[in-house]
Amino acid sequence: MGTNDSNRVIDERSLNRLKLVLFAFLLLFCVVVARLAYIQIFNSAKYKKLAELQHIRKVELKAKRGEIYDRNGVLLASTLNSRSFAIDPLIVRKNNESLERFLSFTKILGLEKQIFSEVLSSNKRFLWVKRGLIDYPRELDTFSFPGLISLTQPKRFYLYGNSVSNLIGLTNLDNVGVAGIEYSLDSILKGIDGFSYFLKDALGRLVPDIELPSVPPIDGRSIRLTIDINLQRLVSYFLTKGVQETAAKGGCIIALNPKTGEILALANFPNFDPANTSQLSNETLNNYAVNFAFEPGSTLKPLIAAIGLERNIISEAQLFDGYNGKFTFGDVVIVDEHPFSKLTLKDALVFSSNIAFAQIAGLIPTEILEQSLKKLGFGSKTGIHLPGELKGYITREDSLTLVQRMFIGYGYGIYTTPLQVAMAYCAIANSGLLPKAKILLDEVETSLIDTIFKKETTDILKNYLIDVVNIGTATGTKVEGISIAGKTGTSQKFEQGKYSKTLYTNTFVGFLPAENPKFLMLILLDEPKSSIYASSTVVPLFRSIVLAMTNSKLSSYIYD
Amino acid sequence: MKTNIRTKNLTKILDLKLLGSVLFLILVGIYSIYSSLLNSETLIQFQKHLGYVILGIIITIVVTFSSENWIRSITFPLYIVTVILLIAVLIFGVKINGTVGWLKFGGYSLQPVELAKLAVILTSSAFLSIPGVSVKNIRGLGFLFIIFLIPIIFIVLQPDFGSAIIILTLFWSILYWSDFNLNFLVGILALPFLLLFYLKGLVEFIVVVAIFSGIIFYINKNKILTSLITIVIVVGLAFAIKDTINHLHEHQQARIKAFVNPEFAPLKQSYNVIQSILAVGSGGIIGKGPFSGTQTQLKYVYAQPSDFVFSIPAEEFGFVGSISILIAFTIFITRVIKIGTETNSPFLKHIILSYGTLLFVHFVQNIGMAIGLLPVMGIPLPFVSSGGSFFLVNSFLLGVVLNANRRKFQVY
Repeated sequence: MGTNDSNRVIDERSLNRLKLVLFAFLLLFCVVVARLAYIQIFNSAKYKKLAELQHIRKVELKAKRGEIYDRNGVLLASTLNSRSFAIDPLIVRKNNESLERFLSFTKILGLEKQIFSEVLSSNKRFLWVKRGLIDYPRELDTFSFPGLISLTQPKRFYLYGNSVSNLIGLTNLDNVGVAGIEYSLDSILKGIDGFSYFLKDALGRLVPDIELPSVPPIDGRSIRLTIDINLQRLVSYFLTKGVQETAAKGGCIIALNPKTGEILALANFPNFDPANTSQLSNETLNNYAVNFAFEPGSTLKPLIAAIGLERNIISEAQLFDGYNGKFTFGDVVIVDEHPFSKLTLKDALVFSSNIAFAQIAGLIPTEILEQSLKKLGFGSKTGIHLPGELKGYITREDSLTLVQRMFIGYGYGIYTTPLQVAMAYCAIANSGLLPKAKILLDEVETSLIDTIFKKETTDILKNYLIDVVNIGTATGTKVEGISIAGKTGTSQKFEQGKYSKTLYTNTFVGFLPAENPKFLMLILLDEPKSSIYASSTVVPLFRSIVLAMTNSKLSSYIYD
Repeated sequence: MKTNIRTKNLTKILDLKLLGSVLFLILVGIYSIYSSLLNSETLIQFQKHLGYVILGIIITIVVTFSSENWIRSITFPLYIVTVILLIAVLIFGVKINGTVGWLKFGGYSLQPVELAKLAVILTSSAFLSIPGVSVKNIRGLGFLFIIFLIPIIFIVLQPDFGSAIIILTLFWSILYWSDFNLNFLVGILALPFLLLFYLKGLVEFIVVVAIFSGIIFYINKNKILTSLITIVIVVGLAFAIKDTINHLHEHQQARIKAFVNPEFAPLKQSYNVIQSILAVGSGGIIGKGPFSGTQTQLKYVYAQPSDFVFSIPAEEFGFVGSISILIAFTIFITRVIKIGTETNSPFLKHIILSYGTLLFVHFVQNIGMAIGLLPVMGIPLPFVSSGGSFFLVNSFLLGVVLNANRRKFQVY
């Protein structure tokens, strides 16, 4: 027993060393507990946030962009999933093998050598190689090498190419509308992107979690335009032909229903190919109908006549002095192509007398002229859903002077857009009722139609305008079996401080059938070179289009 | 008079505090490994771990009831086999994370370095228990050092510096319990800490020097001269080493700096530490709940079932879970040391006290690494981490502890 007891006793030296160990243990225990408390209690929120940041990933759920149809439901613009390729240059050039793979990759895609040198020199970690491929060699789907990034992205495509490109516009590579309808109605078309949260594991794989919030995307609304794509293509074809034949700088054609203001076709030249956006410029994106302000010239005369008749300032029987074709007023000299000594309002319109209309406009009091022109829509936007619409102006000063009024009488000094002119003519065609210009078929109008003239006034003018076509300046547009009313305009362009002797705009506005018009069309050619006169440029073009329409299903836009 | 009180004091013999804490740690390990593999394609690693647990329990029971002579008889053969395996692993070993540490047998792998820990503990203990052998003469100290040096050489060649350091601390520990000069031991131990904190900053360095000086004065009682000489020598050495580092090449310095400040090193190792701290820290006070640790379940922590196993319960059971594990280890280690100091047999006594050191170092280093206190070393957490070799080594040594405890209550 004795030995047993002594065995149990720990000698003093050992006891000291045991104490030292226990002390060290206690010290380290405290350090560890303190550290644990520091990170698990006092800084837990911070670490929680950091952890969440790395494993909760917000994923955007892209809304599908709305589609664009024509008035008959023909698809004009839609969205497809396209393939885009990007690379990480740092990884690609790290080893020869992936560099070689990249080289053969660019060969399959038919890319230029330039991208290759860019890859060799770029310090970026992300470089687009090719975006928005819809039709591409299928072998690329399985092609892979270190550093290749393959993405599926929505891409807009357009089924009718150049013929309607300036009207519809286009989206950029990020599918955001940047021109035309795509731009002006982007907020409706794009919809609202949703999002969802996923858990991301260390390898980057996404794991869905029902406890995390998720908002589904709201797809963009599809829209129906008022245009008929077949008419649009026809009109576009003739416009292109007309521009090329007259060697004009450009031009546009607006076709609409004067009763409803619905635009049936709106063609432009120059235009662009939405599938090949590499040659875009401001000029090719331009929409003459709303982005071009010009002095309308003679096409304004019927409207001036209507204002005068409406206010009983002039009458049908009234005789105006023709000054034998040369009228001097102060230092202004006005010349007529067809000289008259005396002429009626009808003669003034049919033969487009500048002298008579300068006098008529001079007779109309300033206030009445300004107000009437304003009511017809001049000097303010039509409010159509097209980007960059110009207002134009009636006058830049407080009010019109007598000289300015006389100029306005034959369409100078006032700046209008082609669409404004076309819309103002609706008031004549539509027996004094002026609708609002309309490009969206399903749009709910607020102020539908404004009454501008009495029917008596417009009936008189219609008859005059029929004569313009039958015996006047627009005989070149006569079509057998259909009465067409219209007016030409040949206006000098104001360039570098004076009116040009070589640069003109030619316009013709016509409507048919003249008695009860369903169809109104404005044709504008900017700076035609083959001839400067509307009668030999836009007038025959009008006839060609009407003929082509009457010989096809499109005749329903003319006849009931 | 021969009294057998084995049956009467069964609870005392088995030491319920010791066994309870070990059992708790084993369960924590099983839970953690299962949780970390929950979203994996295979649970093979978990099934293997269960197998090792069962095998380990059998080994513990066998060793508990074996004789001291049997343990002594396997010591030298074990040492020889270990050295052969350490050489074999250099030739046939599988390279994992830059270290050739594993020998593969079919689906199983053996880490000879873990076996080496057991071998040096048993061999050095057996050597020191030979009557007349003392660490206080050059021959005894030299021979003892050779026992440690041979495996260390092969381990450094792998290269596995972490384990080499662990084995060096076992050498330190056996000198400590063999009544070796305390000034020397404390100085040697303090040197790396002084250096580490010297590199971190001046304030930290002064604090560590102060603590070190306090300990030296405490152990030397009233011998002020001895204390001062010890302090001057050790601090002077620290300066000298720092000066040497300053003259190293830039890339070598960068490596040392990365070792000192893992957060600022753009290395894989620092990524692991940050992920581990995020797991532990985001656990908060009560944790994210069983099998709900996002860091764990989404596999952000690298080598989680083995080296970073602590981050699993720390994330899923928070501060409460972490403290429970700390308490379990504290009970476990203090019981081991207590039993060690009370053991009569010098052989078993050396084994158990060395084992206490092994547990202590592994525990502090592993958890310290997981919470960003200490640099990263591939040091598993005893009874918790996956990895069969180390689990079985622990089972054997636990058996030795229980064996000695059993003897205490036997009266001949």
